[in-house]
Parts: sequence; C-alpha cells; structure tokens
Amino acid sequence: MHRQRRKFLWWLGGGLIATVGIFFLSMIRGILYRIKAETAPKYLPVDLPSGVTFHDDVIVYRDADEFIIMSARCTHLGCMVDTRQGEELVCPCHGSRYSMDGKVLTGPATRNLARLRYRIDSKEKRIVIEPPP
Amino acid sequence: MSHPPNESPSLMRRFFNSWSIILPLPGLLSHAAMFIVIGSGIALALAYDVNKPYDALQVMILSNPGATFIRGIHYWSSQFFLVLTGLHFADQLSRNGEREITPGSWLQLCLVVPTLIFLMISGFILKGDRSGILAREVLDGLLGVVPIGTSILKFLFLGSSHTLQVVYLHHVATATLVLLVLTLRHGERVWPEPRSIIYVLGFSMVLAAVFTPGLNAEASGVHVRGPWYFVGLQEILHWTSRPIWVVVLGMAGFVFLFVLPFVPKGCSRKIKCTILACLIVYLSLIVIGIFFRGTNWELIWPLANS
Amino acid sequence: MNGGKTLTRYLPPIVAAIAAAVSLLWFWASPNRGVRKVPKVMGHREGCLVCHLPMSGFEKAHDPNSIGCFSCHLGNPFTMNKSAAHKGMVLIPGNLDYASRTCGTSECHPLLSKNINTSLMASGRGLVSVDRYVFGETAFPNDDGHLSKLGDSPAQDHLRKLCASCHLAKPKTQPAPISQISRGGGCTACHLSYSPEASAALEEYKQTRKPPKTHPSLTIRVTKIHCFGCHSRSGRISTNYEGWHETRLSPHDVTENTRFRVLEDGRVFTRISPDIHFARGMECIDCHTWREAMGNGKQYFHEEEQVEISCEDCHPLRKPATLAPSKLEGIDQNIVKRREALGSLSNVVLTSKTKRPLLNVTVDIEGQLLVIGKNSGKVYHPKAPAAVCSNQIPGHRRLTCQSCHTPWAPSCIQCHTSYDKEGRAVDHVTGKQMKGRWIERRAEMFPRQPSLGVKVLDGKEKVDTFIPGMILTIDLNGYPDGSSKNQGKIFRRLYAPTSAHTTSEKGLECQSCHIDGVVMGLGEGLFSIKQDASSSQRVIFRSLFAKRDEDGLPQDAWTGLWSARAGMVSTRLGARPLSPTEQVRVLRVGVCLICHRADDKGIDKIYEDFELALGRLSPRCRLPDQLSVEPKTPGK
Repeated sequence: MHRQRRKFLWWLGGGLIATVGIFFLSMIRGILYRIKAETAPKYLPVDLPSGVTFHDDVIVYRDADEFIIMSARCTHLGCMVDTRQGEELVCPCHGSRYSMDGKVLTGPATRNLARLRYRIDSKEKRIVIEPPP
Repeated sequence: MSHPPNESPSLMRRFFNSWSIILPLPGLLSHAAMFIVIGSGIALALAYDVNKPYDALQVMILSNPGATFIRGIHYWSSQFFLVLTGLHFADQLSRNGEREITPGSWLQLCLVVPTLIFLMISGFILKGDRSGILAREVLDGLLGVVPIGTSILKFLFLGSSHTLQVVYLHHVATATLVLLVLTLRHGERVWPEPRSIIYVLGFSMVLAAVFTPGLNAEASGVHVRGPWYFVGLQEILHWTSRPIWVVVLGMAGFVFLFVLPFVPKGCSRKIKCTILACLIVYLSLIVIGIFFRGTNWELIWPLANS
Repeated sequence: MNGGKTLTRYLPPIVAAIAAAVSLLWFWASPNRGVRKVPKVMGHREGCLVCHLPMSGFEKAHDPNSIGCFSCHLGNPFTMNKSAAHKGMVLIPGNLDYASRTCGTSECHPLLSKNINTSLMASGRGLVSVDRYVFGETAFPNDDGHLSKLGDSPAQDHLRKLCASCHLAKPKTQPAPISQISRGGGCTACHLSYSPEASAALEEYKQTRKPPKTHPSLTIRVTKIHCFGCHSRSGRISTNYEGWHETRLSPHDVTENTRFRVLEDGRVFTRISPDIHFARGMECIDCHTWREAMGNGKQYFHEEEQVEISCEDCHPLRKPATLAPSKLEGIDQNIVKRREALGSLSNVVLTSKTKRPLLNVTVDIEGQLLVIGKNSGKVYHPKAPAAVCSNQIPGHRRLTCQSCHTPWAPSCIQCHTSYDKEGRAVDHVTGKQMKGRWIERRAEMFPRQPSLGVKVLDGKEKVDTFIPGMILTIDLNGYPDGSSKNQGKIFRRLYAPTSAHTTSEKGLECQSCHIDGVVMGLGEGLFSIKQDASSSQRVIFRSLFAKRDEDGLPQDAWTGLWSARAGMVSTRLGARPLSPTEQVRVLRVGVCLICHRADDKGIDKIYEDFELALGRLSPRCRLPDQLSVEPKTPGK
C-alpha cells in the first residue's frame, strides 16, 4: 500500500514538474522570439572614411564607393574583432587574423567573417544593416 | 587510512602535513572563504547596478573607498576560495578521501568544480568592461558547440547579449545556492570556524588594501586577457580551430574525476597523477599567456610587455 | 609540536591585527576618499579630470570636457592613485609609435593615422634611398627605406649621425614648443601650438613639478613656424621661401641684423629675394594640402611624386575643374567646417594632377579664381599666366613654370665626407652617443640660378630646375668594415631636381638661360666666339673653376659642352643634363641674344619662327659652325 502510494506520488510529482518544465521551455522560447523580433536594424552614416572602421558588432570596409559590411564576430568563438594591425584584422581573444575584407588568414578561426546584408538609404544618407536571420 | 602503514607518505601528504602545522586545513579555509565571498558579494550588490555595470564599477573605484574595499575583499576572497578548493580536493584525493563517501556524495562534490568555474567566470563577466564582454562572447561560443538546443542553452546560462541580467542572477543566486547545497552537506559543519575566517578575511583585507583590483580601460586595440586562471584555456583555444575538443576534454576530465572511487587503487593513482600533470601543464600555459604574450597575440620576452 | 601549537594559537590574532591596521591606514590614505563628482566623457568616467580640471588652452575639438585626458594620454582613468593612474601614460601622444592608439583611434583620426605612415614626411624614404645610392650600396635611387629603421652600412651610419632626426616618425621625448631645432613628434610636429600662457605653464611645471593648468593647443592652424625647422635643411626651402641664403659665417661675425639672420642652431643667413608668394603673405599650407603632408595612403619614392599641387592650379591656362562643397568627402568636409577663415565657398577647385580638391581655392561668380589664406582668411587674386607661358614660343613646351621663375637657389658645389672611427657622434635614431663620426667639409654655397635639366614625371619629359646634389667625395678609408667594398674614395657628380621656393613674379630674361653656363649645366664661366685660321667660328666656354681629375669637368659643372654624361648623373632615375643636341638648340638662340636682346622692339619676330629668321640672316651675322645646322631630334 505504502509502496503503491509512494509510486503514485512520484508519478504525480514528476508529471507536475514535467508540466512546469514544458511551460518553462515555452517561456524561454517566447523570450527568444521577442528578442529576435525586437532586434532593430543597425544604422551607420554613409560618409565613412575609406578603409576599415569598427562599429561594435559590425565592421565596414570601404573601397571608394563600394562597401563590404561584415559581422565583427570572430568565426572561432564569437569574440568581437575590434583591432587592426597593419593590413590585418586581429581577434583579441585568441589571435585569429583576417584580411581587411574579412577573409581568414591565420587561425584558430577557419571561416571568413560573415557578410551582412545592407542597403543604402540615400534619403537619410545612411547604411541600413539588417539583423542576421 | 590515507596510505598503507609501511609506505612513506607521498609528497602531497607531506606538504599538507606541514601545512596543517601553521594553518587550518584547506577545506576549513575554503569553507570560510566561501562565506566571506558570499557576505562581501551581498554587500557589494548594494553598490552594483546591473543596468550599467561598467559605470557603477567606475564610480565605485573613483569615488567610493568603502565600496572599493568591499570589492577588493570580494575579489581576493574569491581567488582564495578557488585556490583553497583546489588544494582541498588535492588534500582529500591524496588521502583517498573519495573512497570514504557514497557515490552520490562524490558526484555532488565533483559538480562543485563546474559550478565554481561558472561562478568565477560570471563574476569576471559582471565587470562589464571590454575583457568581461569578450569573456562572455567566448563562453557563448563554447556553449555554441553543443549541437542541440543551442540558443535555449545559451539563454539559460547567459541571457541575451544586451544585458547582464541573467549572468547576474546566476552569479548572485542560482550558482551560489547550488554551491551551498553541494558543499554544506558533505562537511562536518555548516558555519565556518572562527580561526579560518580570521585567516581568510585578514589576508583578503590586506590584499584588498594593497592590491586593489582594477578595471579594464581601453575600448579596443589592445591585447585582452581573461582572468589568470583562464589564461591557460585562452592559450589552448588559440592553438585549436575546433573548440568542441576543449569542451569534450573538459567533460572527460570531469568523468575521470568522478570514476576515481570506482576503479582499482593502482589505476586511480595513475589517473590522479595524470590529472596533476595536466594541471602543471595548464599552469605553465598560464605563465606563458601572462608573461610571454604581447599585443595582437605575438610572442614576446617578458618585461617587454608594456 | 609545541612550537606548532603556539603558532596556531597566536597567528590568527596577529593576522587579524595586521589586517585591521593595514585597512585603517589604507582607508585614511585612500586617494578616492572625498571625491564627490567624477566627470563622464565619451561614455566613461575619468579620474584624470578630478585632478587636472580646469585645463585651458585647448581648441573646442580637443577640450578635455568633451574628450577627457585618457583618449590622448592613455594611462588608467579608473583609479585615483596617482602612480597607478599615470602607469602606461603617454606623455606625447602624437608620436607615431602609438599614434594609432591615441590620435588614430576609431573615434578620432583613424585614416590620417594610417596614411601618415606611408608619407615621405614620416619615413624619409627618398632620403634613405638616395643616400644609399650615392654611397654605391644600391643600384637605383628608388628603394625602400625608413629613417627610424636604419641598419649598419656606411650610408645608413651616415644617415643615423647626420640626417635621421628630420622625419615625423622620430619620437619627441620631452614636451616643448615647436622651434627651429625641434624635430619629430609625429602629429604634434605640425599640429601642436604653444600659446605664451602654455609656454609659461610649461616652464613653471619644470621648476615646481605642479600639474600645469594651461595645455598647448592641438590645432588645424599649422603655421610656417612648424615647417621652418626641418625644411631649413637639405634644399633649404623654408629659408629660401623667406629670402634667406645660408653663409659660412658664424654668429659672432655678424653685427647687423638687417642683412643677416642667425638661426637657433647658429647658422648665419643673408638676405636675397624672397618668394613672391611669401612676399604677398602666403604660408606653406596655403599651397600645400593635407594629402601631400600626411600621405594619401600610397607609397611614393620621392617628394615630387607625393606633391599634388602645381602652379597651374592657381594660375590656370584653361578654366579649372571645380567641385561643389556638398560633394566633398569625409576629411575634406571636416576641414572646411573647422577652417573658419574659409567661410562658406560655393565651389572648390580641383588639382590638375590628381583631381583632388584644393579647399581654399575657389572660382567666384565672375569666373575669377581666388585663393584664401587658410589661417589668415586673406583673399588673394592670383594673376593669370602671361601670354608667353601658354607655349607660344616654340621649343619651350617641356619647360615647367619654375624653369623661368626661379631666380636663385642655393648651390653647394663641393663637399668632402670622411669617417673618423675614433670620434664620437650622436646616433639620431637611438639618441645615444656612438663611436664613429662623419666629418663633412664643404665649400661656400652660391645663391645662383639653378641649372636646367630633363626629368621624367608621370611618363613625360619635363625641363626643370636642378642644383648640385651632390658633387662630393666620400672617403671610406676610415670606416671600420673589413670588406673592400667599403674602402677607398668615391667621387660623385650628381645634380638633383629642386623646387627652390624662390619664385619671382616676373620670368627671367631669355639670355639668363640661353647664354649662361650655370643654367646649361656647364658651371660658372664665360662663353666666347673665336674665329680660327680657316675663318670658322667656334663657341668656346671658359669655366671659372678648375677641372677635376676624376672626370675632367669643372668643379661646379654637371656636364661638359657638347658632351653627354652616362652613368650616375642625378639622384633621380631618368633625370639628366641637357644633351649636346639640346645645348646646340639653346646656344643657337643664345648667340643671337648677345646682340638682339629679347626686350628689343620688334624682336619677337625673330624668335617666333627662328628657322625662318635664320634663313634671313644678315651677312654680318654668322652662326658658329657647331650651331649652324638645326639638330634633327624631333618634337623638342
């Protein structure tokens, strides 16, 4: 009798916790969706100097009128690449090096910096960078 | 029994025997350190603002000597806690203490290791300066090697990238509670002994006064180093393009630690020696990372580092 | 064991007592005690400002209330402990060693800080490569080089001990105003300006060590004082520009200061004619652009390649190209905003060479070209070129403006350089006294008209002004190097192209070039026409200076009459003296000019179509035999 009751209580308790767990996971998913939906595009002025400029999690490489807009997140472990040495971009966390247009030169990273989609808003004179999908 | 009566004590045992002449055993000291960290952390939380952590710390350091001192105690006692916990593990493993408790208790004690590591790194992240932010990115990257449920896992541990709220929550509440639950059950006492408190608090106060912990100033462009105990990991990550192996290696280390009571003594001794050897290698990597690395990850001679 | 027990008994209270004492002392002495307000600049708090404000002397863009101290001087802004705050501090942020972390951070001047490293003003690349070429260490004068990164060969040792301080990459180690003898300092070499108050504050600081409350300003208003020091060496363009010529007098020889000027380094200069632009009140930067000085990102070999302006930009022969200010790019826009003296312009003129904007040159609504002083705001109305400048005279198509408008340039015709291995001299790269000294002895420098020679610029041949650079003997017998390559004497006779900066308003007279030995590269001397026994007439040139044994040419000459030189003749690839053919063409006109001066009435009929005029030669006029046949070399 005791054993059966204990077994029943274990199952009930487990079920209750599992239910709460499902709500909990759903809550996390909801938070993540909201964060993604509320992520605004990034705006940068269009008259950036030529060469490389750093803007938090975005790197802009300008060559005359052409732009290459890349994520500043190192493809090794996601650190922000924010240092330039000569003609190379250097990740401060573990030393990966990239060329000015984001191609990986020296490890430990093995992939190029991700290119971001952007458009030029000539009316407002700014670059609009869409958040990554 | 720590060793057969006819064998001479190992180097480790002799070290801890000498230790206990002057100081309380590492376990008692680390127990005291834990309480001092928690106490000073609660006090520090009154001056801390998770919405603008970097600014709050700057104001503390520049205009609030009391807060600066409390922060110093919190910092140094946490360093003591880390080192003394490590020494406590070494002490217990050297006398085969893992065989004297139940497997469940041993598992809980092994779980102290990742909990403590998370507490240390989350505290470093909570500085909110450049090195703290980058440490968050690295941890985020390491969690990203898990193939399933990555975004949920990252959110659970680190929260969203715009705020340190979740990291703060885990640092002050979740991980602290887990640590307390895991550790308080196995010891002989709940509250630390007064002698240990005096030692740890005393030394923390002296160090807090003489070596006040600072804050990273430069916004970009200079080589950034994590906390000293993670510099070795930084070196390892510099050499490998596949961080998943670092995670796998870490987990393997945990498994080897856990299986120690269940394998024959000879095998257990070999595993312990391997763990010690790995620790020595890791300490050497820390020395290289601190003294032989310059700007932009170039190798330099020490003292050339400005 | 008892000892152990005693230790464990008493050690805790001892630790506690020491800890309490140290902490109380710390609290009492804590530097951040009593600090109420910590200023916030550029997103962070700065402890520096608690101690160092108020600080005056800055222009608005560099006001510490906006940018703080840390963004330039580094150090640690997050501590109130003085030594900790000053650790890692940079005393002179403009030095190029770390300008990328101070002036050149991403929030401030990243492009300029990147480009400056390619500028010849920072590296002195041309100086290094020409010196090595002259010493015979390289085959061409177009090579890599940097005055801060010199090796140990004889030429590089020569540069270390005599030349290596004149470049922007030389670090400045002590704060001081820019003077005639200050060198280096990176950005601050040009952009630092000490007001009288700032100079007084610096002097007071040196005496009392109390933090000064007035700081020198960082300014876009670069004045001639900034350029004067370094550019009073080598080609002497800053002194030439103001109308001063270097003598070999010493200061105690000089009693009056109207004709003479003594510089801070003790050199004595005498008055000659200044450049017309100086006489009108123009400063160096009224012509020279920021791209020329700070680099445009491209590496050049020599200074004339880096210069983007030309006389025609302000004295155009045709209508100049212009650009609307709204189309200016980043840095140009900023400069126009900062230079209040420029006011608001409706357009800016583009350079003919590089199509880049000249931010102080504009065309008004009446089509008149105006130049505005960048510091003074004074408006200049440059004269249009004379009719003769628009290539109306045959044979003058290759000439540059300065060929006719440079009345004088300093010409140093003899130099002897030897090495004293026992002597000591300062190595300007390291700043230390080193063993070995170069001894230079030179003759008087003459303020004479430059020679004309041919150089290649942008693929085209141009006739331009040249001065001796150098006619020298290098005696390497004392140099401590075992190899035979570095022994013995080297003689060089090289002329270098120069932009003398002594521009005259009026062009020179025709006979100044056409019948002058110096201008033709023959050196000082006299032309005469001699008739021999067979009644043929020959042009003779008698040089003033004796011929040298090494090459049979007079001391100050570049070439000989009717002879062509081969091998090393100039410090530029492709540059050369007038060829025999060109000498004939010059002298054919020159001999006529002796009697038929160019300013005689009706004389332009002769020189407009010279061949036709020669066909109608009077029987009294006979061209010397060497000049009687028109050279067949086409197109010149």
